[in-house]
Amino acid sequence: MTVVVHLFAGLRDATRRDRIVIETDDHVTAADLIASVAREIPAAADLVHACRLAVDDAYVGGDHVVTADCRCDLIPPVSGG
Amino acid sequence: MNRSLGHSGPLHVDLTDGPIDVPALLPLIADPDVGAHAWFIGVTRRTTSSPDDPEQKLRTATLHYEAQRTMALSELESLGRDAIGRFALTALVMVHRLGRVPIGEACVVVGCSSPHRADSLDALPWVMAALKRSVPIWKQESYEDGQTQWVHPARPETS
Repeated sequence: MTVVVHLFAGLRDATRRDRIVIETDDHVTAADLIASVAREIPAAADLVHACRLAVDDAYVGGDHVVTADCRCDLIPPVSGG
Repeated sequence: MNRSLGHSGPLHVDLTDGPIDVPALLPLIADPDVGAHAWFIGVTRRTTSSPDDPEQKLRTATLHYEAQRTMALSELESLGRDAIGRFALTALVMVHRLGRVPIGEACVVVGCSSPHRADSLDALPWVMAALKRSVPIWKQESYEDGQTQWVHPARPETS
């Protein structure tokens, strides 16, 4: 299946794109999806591995199963305030 | 987004692209049965420690904030509901500014009220720590030497 992962802040600037398209097996877990993104953009792999995945506007754990119709956001460490 | 302000119940959260109108927020936590109003106003600071050398001080010219807006609002609402229950707050307001914020201006405002002062005073640091831990908002510092840097702390910031 195809999963679109949205990128933000330093991760977006480091990759010069606001989303990345990942081709993956059906029912991929959040942890595996993050690992796939890191392989796609090795120059930013450290920051990718520091990110949390959000699915449909909520953080999910590494074992959460992602489906193709989800909105996926890769959330770098936050720095509000 | 800028929304008109009114007394919208015990919890009010907002993201705004312009200056935060603090006086307009004051009535939102008013209630005849509270004995304490407590406010925290976070402002943009000029001097920052270098991430490479904490002894080296960098001078920030301006800051820029961005958010995943829908999730930031839902995270603010979630932590706000948690705080109201945890500290028995009568009302809670959280507003974060996005976009360019000049040095010395408010970037985040949190206000709360409760029957007794201890609950409001205890709630403020808890809310700020939770905000810095989970709300998808990021700041980019632009230094006086022309360099810019996104702040992605390994651990939640302490100030």
